[in-house]
Order: sequence, then structure tokens, then C-alpha cells
Amino acid sequence: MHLLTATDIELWEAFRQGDRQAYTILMERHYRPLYSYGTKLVFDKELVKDCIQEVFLELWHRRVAIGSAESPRFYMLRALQRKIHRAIHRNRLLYNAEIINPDTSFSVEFSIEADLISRQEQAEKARQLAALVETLSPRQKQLIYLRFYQDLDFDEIAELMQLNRQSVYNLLRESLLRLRKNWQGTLLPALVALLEANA
Amino acid sequence: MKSYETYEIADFLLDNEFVAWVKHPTRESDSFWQQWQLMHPTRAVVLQEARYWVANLAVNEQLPADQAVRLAVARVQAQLSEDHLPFSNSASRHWLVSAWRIAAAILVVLGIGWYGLSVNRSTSDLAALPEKTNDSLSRENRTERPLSVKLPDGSRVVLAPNSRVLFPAQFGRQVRDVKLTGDAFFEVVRQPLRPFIVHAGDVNVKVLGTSFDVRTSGRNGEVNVVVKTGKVAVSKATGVPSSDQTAVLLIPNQQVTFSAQDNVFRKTLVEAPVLVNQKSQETDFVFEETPIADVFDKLQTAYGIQIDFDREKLKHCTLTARLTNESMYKKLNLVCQAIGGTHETVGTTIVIHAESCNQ
Repeated sequence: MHLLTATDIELWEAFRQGDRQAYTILMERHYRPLYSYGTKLVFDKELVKDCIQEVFLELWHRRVAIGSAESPRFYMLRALQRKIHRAIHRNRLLYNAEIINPDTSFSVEFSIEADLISRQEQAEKARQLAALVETLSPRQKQLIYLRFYQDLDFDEIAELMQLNRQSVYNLLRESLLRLRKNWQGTLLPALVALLEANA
Repeated sequence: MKSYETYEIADFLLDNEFVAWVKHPTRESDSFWQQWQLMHPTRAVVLQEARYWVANLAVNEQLPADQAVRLAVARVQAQLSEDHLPFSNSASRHWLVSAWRIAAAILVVLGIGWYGLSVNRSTSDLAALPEKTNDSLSRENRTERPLSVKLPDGSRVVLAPNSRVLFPAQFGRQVRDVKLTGDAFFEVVRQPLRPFIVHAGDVNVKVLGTSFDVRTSGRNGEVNVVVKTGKVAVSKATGVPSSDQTAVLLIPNQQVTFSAQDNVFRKTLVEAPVLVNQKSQETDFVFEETPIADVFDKLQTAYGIQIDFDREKLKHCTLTARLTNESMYKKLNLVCQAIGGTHETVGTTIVIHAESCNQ
């Protein structure tokens, strides 16, 4: 197995056997997604960095006891979430303004990348679509973030957000339908034009 | 078999197979969806829009650069080798030697942070005379120069002459306790889940943020704490260190003095506040017909200090000035002069007294 091209699950298995290189690559690969998620939960970036370090250290210490994971990413995200919750609770005097409440405090700002977009008009439409996502509630945004950015499945999202799977599905569906009402007629004509131009 | 031909955009976005294809296309999924589009040309556009959305949805955020990620990972490895685990670690300590040159100037004080510090260690290692008492180690600086001592967690103490530090051979799992007599400068490896507490004279200093100074050698047992960056909690040694009631919280440019005689904490501003907002630069203080409220707001942000003024009364006051090299108080003097007012420091707040300006 070549470590740099190994899948997360392969790396995870190697790491559990005590492979330090696999452990290092896992950390490097997931540092940014963890940092991204952490900084959505709490504004204090230094706290997030410290918590990630703690998560990594514990991973190594507990590697023998840790089971196989279908999604190492999810395993680490969940560990980070718990760590941050605990740290905030312990220092609640400092973080009283940042109590974790997914209904109010998940702070994420989306955009639609413009790589496909060549014309001004289409860029404007992508911007509108991004603006639409911004009108969703923090909880809905968190869902979209976890599903499409962190690439988690419904069960994993349900566990992180402490909802049941069906609620996650319903809430996501509701958010997407709400978007859909608004996005018909925004991007669609542009895409038709794009497809026709390519045809 | 799913009836994808009836799918609208939202249905595609809710579909695991579809999202998996966009995120991690495989040869199989690629051929499946290409085939599907050929078979359902009228629905292809819906699929394309859904695909576009999933593929291009991004998050506006600043993530750490490669270098920062590598450093963070190196820190983990350094930490693991501190814990005497079989983990190779050669060059991972570089991060400690960062640019805190100022540190030398405040060696007589005790500061806590995780910045690196350059001290003359060739002599200091010789001068450190460890005395082992049960499970705790004691180091005393009997030289006339600052002395650098390493703690079990990788943190470092620079002891002033005639000062002494006491710490366990191995820190506990819950808390890192250090006892200090005299003055010292600390650089602490931050672990928020394992607080670092300095017991100094009649107070305990708990690291909640990144850096601060403590002076314990004042007259009459006075202890003085100055925050440089981050936040710290200072409490009476008799109280429970983590108890919220007895703790005084400090933010940068604030200091607290504890007097054992009157048994009180006095929280004030430091004599010469420094810029604490990293985004602020000296060049920010160039004003041209700038509303005075904006000037004060800029100062508040840059120095992290609360400035109280009557926004309504001063709404017609403006300032044209270049305040690039002055200290904070000099800046305030000049600003107040310009609007014919004065300023007063009350506790940790600056109060502006001024009359309204003519329109």
C-alpha cells in the first residue's frame, strides 16, 4: 500500500497497528476539515487548534482500543465536537457568548465557486444562488455544510446534530425545496445555454 | 430501481448515489450517469444543475496553509515524544523558536504564553541545580542571569535571579501545577483541557489564553499580573482556582494587583497599552475629517480597551491627524486636544469628557 494514495480506511487500519506514517498522513489530511468544522462551532481559533491537537493525541494513545471506523473523518469530527463542547463548558465564563446551540450559533457562509462560470451574467446567478443558501436557518446551514462540504451521510449527521435520521432527511429536504422554489429560473437558463453551446 | 426521471433538483441532492458520484466519481458511476443522461435528454439539465450545485458549493473561510498544518502535526509529534512514547521526533521543535524577542526585556517578570524565547542556555543548564524532593523537582536560579528550565510538558520557565520554581516530575492528567517563589517568565504549551496554574505568592494564575506577565516580588507581598495576549484568570490562593466567583478575568492591556494587606484585587489598565489587534497597524491612525466616533472605535479595537464617550454629543466632531508613532495615551491626548476635551481612566475604561462641536 502506498500511504499517500491510500484511502482513509486503509490509513486508519495501518494507524491502529501503530504505523506512525499512516497516523501522520491522517492528521495532515484531516486537519483542515477539522479546523473548518471547529471554527464553525466556536470563534476562538486557538481553542479549536488546541482541541484538534488533543483529539490527535488521544487517537494515538487509544489506538489499540479504537475500533475500525467506516469513516475516520466522522470519527474525528465527532471527537472534536465533544472536545470543544467540553472546553466551552469548562470555561463557560469566557465563552458565555458562544454557547453551542445549532439553532443560533453555527456560523458558516457559503458561496458558489465560479470556475465553470465564464460570463458575467452567470456569475451573477451563482451569486444569487449562494445568497439564497444564506437565507436558511443556522441549523439548515449546518446540515448543508455537513452533507455537502464535510461529505457525511445522514446517520453521521444525525449523530453530530443529535437528531434522528428521519429528521435530518426531512430538514434537508425542506431546505433544498425552499431553495428550489427560488432557484428555478436562476441558474437553469444559464445552464441550458451552456449545454447548448457545448452541444 | 429508482425512477430518477421524475427527480427534481432537490431529489437529486438528497440522493446518496448521486452525491457520491459528484463528490467521488468512479468509472462505474461515471458510465451510469452518462448513460442515464443520454437516455433522458430532457432531464439531463436538471441533473446538471444539481451536479453543478454540489460540485461548486463552497464555504467562505480561511483555512490554515500547508505550512501551518505541518507545524500543527509536528506539535502533536513533539507532544507525544514528551510523553515518552516511542515516537520519533527530530525537527519538530522548531515552532517553539518563534519571534518573541521582546521576551528578553521582561525576563524579570513571569509571563505565560506559548511563544518561543531565546535565552542563553549554555550557562543556564549548568546553573540549574535540581533538588529532588519526593516526586517534585525544584530549580533555583543562584546565578546573576536568567535561567531557563524545562517543564515535563514541554513548557519552559525562565527564572529571574534568586527565584525558585517547584513542579512535579510528571504533571497530573487534570491540571499542571507549578509553584513559584520570586519572578519568572513562563512559556506554556497550551492545553486547555489540562489547565496550567501558577501558584505565586498569595494568588493563583490560571492560563486561559496565551500570554501574560506576573510580578511577585513587589513590596508587602503585592502580586501584579499583566496580560499580553489572550485571557487569564487570577484568584486568591485560598480560593478554589477554578471557582468563577473568586477569579478576576484579565484581557490584554489590563493588569491586576493583589495586595495581601487589604486583601483586594485592583484591576487597571497597564501604563503603556500596546496594539493587541493583529489586524491593526500604525498606519491605520491616519485621519482626515474622520468622525470622532470612528476614531475612538478604531482605538478601542486596536488596543482592546473600552472607551466611553457620548456618541450623540460628539457626532459633529471630526479629526484630521496622523497618529502613527505615538503611544496610546499620547494619541488620546492629541485627539482630546483637537476636540477640546480631556480623558480619564476609570478602572479599565477610558472616559472622554468633551463638549459638542459646532456644525
